Amino acid sequence: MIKIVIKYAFILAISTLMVACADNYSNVDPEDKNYPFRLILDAEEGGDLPDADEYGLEIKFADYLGELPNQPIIIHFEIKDASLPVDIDKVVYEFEEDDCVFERELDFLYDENSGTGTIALAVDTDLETLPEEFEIVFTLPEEVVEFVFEITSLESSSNTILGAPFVFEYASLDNDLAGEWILAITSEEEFEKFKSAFAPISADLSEISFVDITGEVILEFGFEEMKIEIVLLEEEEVTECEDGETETSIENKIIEIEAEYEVEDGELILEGSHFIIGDDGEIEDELDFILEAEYTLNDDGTANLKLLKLIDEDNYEEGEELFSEEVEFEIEKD
Amino acid sequence: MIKKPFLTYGQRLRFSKTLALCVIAMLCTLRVMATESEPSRGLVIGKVIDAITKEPLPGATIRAVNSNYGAASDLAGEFELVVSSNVKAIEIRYIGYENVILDIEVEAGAITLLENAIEMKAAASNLSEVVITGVLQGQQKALNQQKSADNIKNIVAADQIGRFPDPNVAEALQRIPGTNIERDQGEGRYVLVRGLAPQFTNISINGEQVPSPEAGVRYVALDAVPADQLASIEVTKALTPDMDGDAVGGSVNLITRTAKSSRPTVSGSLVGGYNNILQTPNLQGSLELGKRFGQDDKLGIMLNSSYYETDRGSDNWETDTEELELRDYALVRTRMGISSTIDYKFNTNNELYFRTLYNRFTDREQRRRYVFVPNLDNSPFESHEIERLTKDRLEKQIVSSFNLGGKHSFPNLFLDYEVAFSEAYQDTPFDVEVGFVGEVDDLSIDYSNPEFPSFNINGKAHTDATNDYLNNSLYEFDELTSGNTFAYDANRTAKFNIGIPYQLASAEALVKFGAKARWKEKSYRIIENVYSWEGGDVTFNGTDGEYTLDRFQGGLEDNNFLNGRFLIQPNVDTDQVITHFNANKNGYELSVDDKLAAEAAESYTATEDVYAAYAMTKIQLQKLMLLGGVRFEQTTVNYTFSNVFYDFEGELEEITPDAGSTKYSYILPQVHAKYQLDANTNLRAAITASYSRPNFEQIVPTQEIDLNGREGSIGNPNLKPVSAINFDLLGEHYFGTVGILSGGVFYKQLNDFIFNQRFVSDEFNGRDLGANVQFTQSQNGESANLMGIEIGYQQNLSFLPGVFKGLGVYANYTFTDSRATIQDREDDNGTEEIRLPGQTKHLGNFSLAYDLNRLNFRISANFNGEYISEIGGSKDEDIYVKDRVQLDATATYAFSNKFRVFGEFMNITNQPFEVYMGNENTTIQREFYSWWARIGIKFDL
Repeated sequence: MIKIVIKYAFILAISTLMVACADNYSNVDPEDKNYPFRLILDAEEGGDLPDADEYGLEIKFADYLGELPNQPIIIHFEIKDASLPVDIDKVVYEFEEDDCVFERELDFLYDENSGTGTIALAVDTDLETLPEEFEIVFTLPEEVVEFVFEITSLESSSNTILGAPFVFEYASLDNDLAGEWILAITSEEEFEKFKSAFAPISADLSEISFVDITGEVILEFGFEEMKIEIVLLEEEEVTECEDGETETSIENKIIEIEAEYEVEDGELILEGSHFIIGDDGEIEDELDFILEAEYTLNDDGTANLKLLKLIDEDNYEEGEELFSEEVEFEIEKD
Repeated sequence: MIKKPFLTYGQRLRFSKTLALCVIAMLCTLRVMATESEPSRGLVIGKVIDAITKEPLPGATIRAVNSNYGAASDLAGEFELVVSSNVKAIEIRYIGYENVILDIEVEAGAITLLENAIEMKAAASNLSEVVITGVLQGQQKALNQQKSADNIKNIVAADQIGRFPDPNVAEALQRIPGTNIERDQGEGRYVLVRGLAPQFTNISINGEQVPSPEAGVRYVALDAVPADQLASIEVTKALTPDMDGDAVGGSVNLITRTAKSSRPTVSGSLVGGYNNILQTPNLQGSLELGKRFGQDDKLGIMLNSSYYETDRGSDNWETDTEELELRDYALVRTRMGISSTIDYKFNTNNELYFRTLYNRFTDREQRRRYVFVPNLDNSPFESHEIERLTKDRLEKQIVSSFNLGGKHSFPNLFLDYEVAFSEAYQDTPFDVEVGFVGEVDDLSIDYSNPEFPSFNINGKAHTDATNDYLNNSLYEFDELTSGNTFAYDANRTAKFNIGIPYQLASAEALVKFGAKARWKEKSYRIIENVYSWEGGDVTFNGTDGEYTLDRFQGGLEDNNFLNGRFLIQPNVDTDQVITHFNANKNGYELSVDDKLAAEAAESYTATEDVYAAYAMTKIQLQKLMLLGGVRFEQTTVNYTFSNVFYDFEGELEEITPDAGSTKYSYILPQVHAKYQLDANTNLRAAITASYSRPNFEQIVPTQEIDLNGREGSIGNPNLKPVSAINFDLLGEHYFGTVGILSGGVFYKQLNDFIFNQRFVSDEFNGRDLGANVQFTQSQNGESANLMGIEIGYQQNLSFLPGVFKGLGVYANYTFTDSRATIQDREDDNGTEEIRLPGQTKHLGNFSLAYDLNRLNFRISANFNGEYISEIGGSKDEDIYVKDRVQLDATATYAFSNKFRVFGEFMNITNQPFEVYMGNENTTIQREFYSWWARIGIKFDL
């Protein structure tokens, strides 16, 4: 009797052990132990002024771990839906050595008839890997144009895949403010008005006065992004080195304010972020801001820009705005 | 009430040194005196068993007639007693049994073996119950061991564990006076002894510390160990010098089983259960085989296995007083235990043993959450958001230990030694969480009802079935987090103990000394990948469009969440999202910097070498037993880690690997006294020194410095252990009908208490940070003290008339009070007093049992008072766990002494786990588990 019990008890124990050893794993596991390098386009959309003769589109590796691949990749692409013929001038990447930038070209083939082509992404002899990013320079017809560029596939023996986005849509800029505008500040009063609107989002601007500027302020409206450059009287020596040739020039210092913008029916909204500088002179925080403005276009190539309200994440309730005085400037198309 | 430290730091230091010197001087003097006056004596070896069941009786007191010096039988019922050759008879006592007097002949300088086991008969009043059900045996064994122990300890025998519905060791321990537990998903997990947090309690298996499977800490989750793997559990509340000194609260020792006789034992259980919240069944089984083989039963083999699988769940709401979370948990937990003991007795006084234990705990958890984030300030930069998240992870904790050792007895010397290897790891092979986010125009939450909050979305009450938050197409993919972790901890140990009996004047005595070395390796590594979706519209399951939740919903549906107070929709099915991920990696972007920073900041490796030595003596002076000694422990820790720096714009700037080490030593004097007022009444007192090592996560100086946030968290390599001087006084009276009434007080003075300190600095480790940064770091320096009162009563009321004589009571109550001084949280230059985290003022158990022939019924209540679980940034932010009473019931029917059926009904009143912040009116969490039940058979062939 005891022997029989022990026998069945043993069978029961083994069965229990087998059941117990069956892990309660998930039905499907993420396959991410060796996450692939992803080659992506830098943007999904872009554009320039209708008179632009070229446009550069960046292709790059998305954030990655470890060393980039050291085996070449063939990139197949297609240019389609072009309203006018678009060509490719060159495909280049930059290599930096001893503070000097060298532009190196990649081989490519493009058949205008079919709109298809390939780019040979080769291993750089100095880097001993593929370049981290490169640029396709399109030749544009200097007219309003639209086209779509799509990477259709990759040929790669390394762990590299085509990532998103892989489709880029180009469209010439057609909004009211696209392009470069000049704001000429001619008086201290006008500068103080300008400062009252923009100094809260630019610590550098808040520290200067009318005597520090040339009076020229450039407003550049590109594809969804704009930039304000305040040209200072103070000059600096700028040294640039390209392809082994070093050039040194004296240039005016510039204070820059950057933002994304939306423009529609006379209304302009800038959205960006600005740094809060602490008593120690270091960045203490970064806050989003929204600047609301209105504009009217004049027949003489000028526009009137009325700044209405500036708020940020810490100052947005009524009475707390960073700026709400309604100041108006006349800007002139460059 | 405790107003200020009983002793200053200097006084404590002088006290420790003086006590240590006194103890050393006493040991030397006694040994010299003993050598001069040692008479001829001999060693008596024997075994005590139950006359009917032939079961060994551990904890029996064996002594020479008319003498107070004696020995106690071990778990196998065996004893070794050194007596004078003049002794002609020994007396054996065991609670609930009739005393036995045995004539013996002792030969001086030789070993006298009692060929036949000493058989003891149960006292008449209990005989029938013992024979039929065996329900009293566990209680008897525990109380006898407790009574004969030299120091203050509580013992829970295996049979006693079975009397309560406690599936794991933590739950079994909650029945002991002065012990409370922290729960996870309604099940006990960590043990707090005498109101001190889990890291103050040392957990051992067969006397050797168990490494912790968890990263960064030392304490062990005891829900990983099935209760039916064990022969008994000992909770030592006052250390002796032959024990590891790093236990301030207490030391818990889990003892595995050993084969007892040549008669094969086959015992086990088969249990089925039901969990009401998930409405699912569960399964449990255990099997134990044991037999002694060969001539004179020299070889003993015991095999024990158990398996427990349960589906559990909970419904929970919680808040940080602004955001509201609804959490729906579903878990599958398994516990598997396999243990074995192989022992070989060369003869009665020479024995080798090999013990193994393997425990495997798995916890598959699926957590579905709604997180309601109102835009409280109506900021144009923010919106009212609702997050939907599903987490799916498997956690495996494996604890194994292997002990190889021997015991040898000589007429004038006892020797035991052991080498051990124990290993623990926590493997989380997958930990996935998927989040979706939706925006609504309006969201307001009302916390005016502290039991259940309510909310409105877009003008509709949360109970409205057409509310927008129930529309899964509202939620867009946010991120997928996938990772795994592996924490490893291993101990290699070698030790020996030598005991030399001697006589001091007319008193019998024992001097004991020994040494121990333990080499520990600990490490933690983490993989964490966070992916965003950059691929635009998705095509999945035959549909295409935006990456919204409705395309990926699935899994468990809970139509009765929080008893129907809240409506919830099916949440994200992580399997579907992972399937999409595997097929569409081109659209998922890995957050590389976050991955590098998280993995570097949390990973580390460490080694810890501990060398210890001790000397102690035990003297029996008439009715007074004195035990004193001193222990020395030296610890060296080496570690490697990484520093992670973020720049002023919050971007990852640098990760630098680093290494370091620390070293510290302790001298721990310990004195115990036990005075026998009469045969069943003891008065005990102890003054002991002990300490508690800091957790690895506190000592490894990992730095994570975020210059953008001006915050940094850093480890402290100079952190010292918490040292303590413990005072204990206990009176205990044992009832002949099996029971005990005990009462005692204790006081603990903690020095170098560890707390989190904040400080501001513009440099760290020689690095100019360029700005003032607020650091948080564990620091020593503040004192704490804790006092308490423990009262325990358990008795079978067989003296009552008629039907009442079947009643039995098990009750205990503990009161504790504590004060810890920490840096003032409002003023960095000041100090403030707080309660020790984990300390509960009131703690108790009450259990009423009734034996009616073959039927035993028991109802048990466990009360756990409120305690601080987390010290906040201010008093108002301290997190408290509310008091809780759990009511359980169990019933057993014994068909014979071989077969029993039982049923258990737990958490009958559906007691929630409740948490509040600052004051009791600010409830921030309520979690409900509903009730669960088990029914099964136990056999013992």
